[in-house]
Amino acid sequence: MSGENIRGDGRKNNELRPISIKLGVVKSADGSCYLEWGKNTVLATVHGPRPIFPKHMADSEKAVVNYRYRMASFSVPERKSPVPAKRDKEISLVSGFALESSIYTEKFPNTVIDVDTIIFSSNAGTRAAALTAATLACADAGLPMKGLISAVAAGRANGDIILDLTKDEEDADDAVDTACAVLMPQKEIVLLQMDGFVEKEDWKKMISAAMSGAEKIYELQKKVLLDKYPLEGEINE
Amino acid sequence: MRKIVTPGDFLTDQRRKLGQNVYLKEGKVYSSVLGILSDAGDSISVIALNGVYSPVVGDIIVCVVSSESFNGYVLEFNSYTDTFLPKSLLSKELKIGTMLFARIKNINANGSIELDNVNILPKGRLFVSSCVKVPRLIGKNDSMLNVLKQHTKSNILIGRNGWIWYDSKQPELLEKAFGMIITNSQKSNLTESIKQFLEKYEK
Repeated sequence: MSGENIRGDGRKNNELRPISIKLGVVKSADGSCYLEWGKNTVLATVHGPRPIFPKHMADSEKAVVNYRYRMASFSVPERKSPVPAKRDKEISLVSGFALESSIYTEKFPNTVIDVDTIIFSSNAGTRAAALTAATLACADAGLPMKGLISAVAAGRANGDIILDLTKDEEDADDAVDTACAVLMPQKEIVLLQMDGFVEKEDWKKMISAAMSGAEKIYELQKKVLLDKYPLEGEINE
Repeated sequence: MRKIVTPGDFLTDQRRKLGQNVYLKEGKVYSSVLGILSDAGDSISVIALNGVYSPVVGDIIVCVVSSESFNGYVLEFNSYTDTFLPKSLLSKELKIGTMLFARIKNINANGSIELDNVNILPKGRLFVSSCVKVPRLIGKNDSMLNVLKQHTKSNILIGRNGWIWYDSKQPELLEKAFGMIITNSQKSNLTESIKQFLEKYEK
């Protein structure tokens, strides 16, 4: 993968779109995170651990992680039905498994941790953006975790292996898109999904691109968490 | 020098007593929450900056009656679980919304807790805070608590679960001071700043 080629939006092949993150934006939630990633915008909130209803859903050995991925009806150019489609349910399920693997759920038996992620604006790579925001909201809520999840998409468009595809690149003729979520700093892959056909060599390049992207995102996530609690400074009223 | 760590941060590879909010993997110690590193002597732990209260035997907690059944009451206490208080432990009937303070006597295997030394609190207000802020709200040798009590002429009882009962002559000022302590809990020299703030507005 050469880092030199310039893409449609002026980025290099191994460059991420600009990311900006705010923590604690929803006061009624235990933890929350608002994330802008290129043209994607995501709001993630965490409620809980709290008592679970209906009671038969409870697990007496661990907390249940209830992850919801939803796209707002105005998030795509043509109106999307707000009824959760098959795609929303599938992403919710697999992202929930990925997030659950990072949380010490066994500390909170018979409870539920509700994680809601809403996509306000979508431009490819939203499941990675949603997971990146959700893990920060969990850390903001003070949940005990093994590490943070850094998710990013890598893929191929117009013959180049590229990191963090936009919608235009995803619509290319030979496009391959791999969403990859990594538990950092352990570097364990917790989510891996792919669309399209790809050769083994390209696949290896895509995974290493996703790994390097995840490391950049992890640094950013850590910085955001540390900035929320400045150790120095005035004690204001 | 105090240091803030995030979940998954490497802390040490030496043999240490594991305190709260850390985990061991392949002989190395990592943090499991966002918090302040506390690396004193032979033990290592992380003081969380947010989180829910996990009951510990012996803690004094402030709780509120949330519902009544024929043989007892359900109490809320700012945790991920509620508790049941049988009427046989009480000498008089309670109303919904009554505030109590009690000691945790026992925690069962299924996570439910038993209480003893149950006392009904007199008329007062409830301030909802988080259990992780309790050490700062009390201070070293009750220093912060004494400052708050003296300067606002109040009666304060802080539960280990983060709920605070108070009866004050200046409730607005006291609540503002609580808010200041909570938002600045990671900074040092807090008691002195709160003292100056209260002296400025004290009547």
